Amino acid sequence: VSTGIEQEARAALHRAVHQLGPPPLDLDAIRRVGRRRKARVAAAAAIAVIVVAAGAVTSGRLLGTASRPVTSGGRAIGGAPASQPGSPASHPQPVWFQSLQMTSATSGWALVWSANPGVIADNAHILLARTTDGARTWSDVTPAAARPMLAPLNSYEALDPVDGDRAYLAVSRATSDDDPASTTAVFATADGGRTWTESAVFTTSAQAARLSFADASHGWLLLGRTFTGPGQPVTWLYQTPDGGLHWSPAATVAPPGIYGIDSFCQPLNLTLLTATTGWVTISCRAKAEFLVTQDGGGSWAPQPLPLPAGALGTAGGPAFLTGPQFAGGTGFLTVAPPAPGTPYLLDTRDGGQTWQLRALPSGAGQYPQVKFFTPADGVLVTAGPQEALGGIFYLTADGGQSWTPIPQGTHFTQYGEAVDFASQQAGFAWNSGANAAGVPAPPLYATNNSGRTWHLFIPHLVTG
Amino acid sequence: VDGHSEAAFEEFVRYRRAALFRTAFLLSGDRSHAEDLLQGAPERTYQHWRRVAAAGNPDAYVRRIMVNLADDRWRSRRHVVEQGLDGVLAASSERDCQDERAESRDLVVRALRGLPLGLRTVLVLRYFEELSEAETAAVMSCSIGTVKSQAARGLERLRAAINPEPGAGETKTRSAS
Repeated sequence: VSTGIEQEARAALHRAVHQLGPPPLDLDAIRRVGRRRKARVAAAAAIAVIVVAAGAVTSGRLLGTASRPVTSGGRAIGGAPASQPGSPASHPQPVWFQSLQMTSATSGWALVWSANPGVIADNAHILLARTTDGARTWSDVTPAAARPMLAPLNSYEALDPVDGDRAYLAVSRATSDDDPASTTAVFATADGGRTWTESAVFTTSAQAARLSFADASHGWLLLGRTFTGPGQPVTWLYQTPDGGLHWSPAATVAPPGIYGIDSFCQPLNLTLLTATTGWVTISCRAKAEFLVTQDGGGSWAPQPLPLPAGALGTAGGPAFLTGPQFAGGTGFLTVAPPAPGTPYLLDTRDGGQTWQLRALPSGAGQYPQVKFFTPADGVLVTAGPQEALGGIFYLTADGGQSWTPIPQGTHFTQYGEAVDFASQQAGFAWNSGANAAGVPAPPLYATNNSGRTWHLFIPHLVTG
Repeated sequence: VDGHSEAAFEEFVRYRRAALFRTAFLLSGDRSHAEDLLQGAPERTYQHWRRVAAAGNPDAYVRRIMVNLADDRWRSRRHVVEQGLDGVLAASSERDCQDERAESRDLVVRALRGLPLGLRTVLVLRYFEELSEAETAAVMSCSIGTVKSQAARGLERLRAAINPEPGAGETKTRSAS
């Protein structure tokens, strides 16, 4: 159902181009340039093959079969930190966040912009940063080998922080400006980003979107490609058996249950519970799919959920699924149908074989964000349409059977404001760089009492 | 590209170019830039036409190329010397002098040009191309959540520009309650 402002926008946009005609068509020029581009790409690919082959011969390794420890940001393995190339000295800089994930009240990881992404600047590129002082100070811990891949503004990243020391980062860079095919590499650290191991660079048919590890060895990499048909031969999921050093295709055809050729089905989220069991959520035009695998990702099937008809989507759009997330063996999943539907919370106590409905507080909003830290303890950030955060959050200490309202000391009303709790008490509110375009670096807010009070501060990035 | 594919490509370009040009104009806010997009996107589509046609949805492909090209152009600053909106409107003012919609169009396009490219692209894809949130997210390679937030923000700013009211259009700030 469109709102008034949406209808107004539609009418205004169509009015704006009313009677606007295209220039004369020059099909010959289109074909001529198209052929030239094709020839150039073919030549570049041939050269790349020669260069890679020569490199493999001289280094004694083959693509997809080798890995090596690498340094981060110019630091030697196990050695003292060193300044980054081109960075004169260690000094604090403003920071714009693309994503922020705190693993405790003090430690966390973030993908950040080194300059305001809302201002056209050649020096605005993505860095991986880590904090150990409650998000006040962020250190650039970008793996050295990832740095050139992250430099272009069209790079793609997937980050999986495990705790304050361990994290995985996948980076994809498109091989041409009009093709989703990418070169991808995955980096892993167990010492807070001081040293990294790096997979060999491998070619993927789309860009890295999500990364999930069940343990120190087994992980999956989900590509953010769009499915154009069920059973379509396409590798959209990769797996590693050795902590991210080597990756191989896990799923090579589009999963069943997605719609027809115009469906625009796209995988959105990924959760790996064990080496063999995991879930993917897929968003289609009018339905979301909750798919499970029991064989390590080779085959997928929709998993039944105890939800009323239409809960996963209607003609108004697909439901918004969050999770599943697992805490101490218990899994939680949030399903938010399109308006006027009401959201659902489900949990599983048997490793995801069966799911049960749990209660949500009446004030949860249409798109609540639920996070559990143990099977019993969780926090619910209320949110409505257009990601508008509520003024009251909720806590549970019994796995979602009952909820205690917590009036928030600050009501965040700016669009794009996101809240991430690392525990029931410790939370952080931040705004992404994209939403902060055109203004100074946005501040962060932190709470240590479930949001009863929030403290504003200006975070800094330390490079070099 | 064989003869059959050539014919299919030509039919696609001829049939879709008017609509694509309007989308390009809204994305760029600039006729000259829109013409570049209308030329560049089919060139890249032709490059991969066999695969694009086999996938069954060339519209989606060319739309994505157009968004990427607009993004590249926006980031490269090369657009600063292009024919601006003023030129476009001036050139068409004679045709539109009796058309009371001209002023409205001026406002809308100016408002779009004042938006960051991400907001502008979401508005064009969602409310002109009528793509779903998932489709828009796919074209822009971002999450549905980002589409939702960008659309909301873009709508607010577009409305503020078209219907200026006292206090409207001011940047929302955080407030403590």
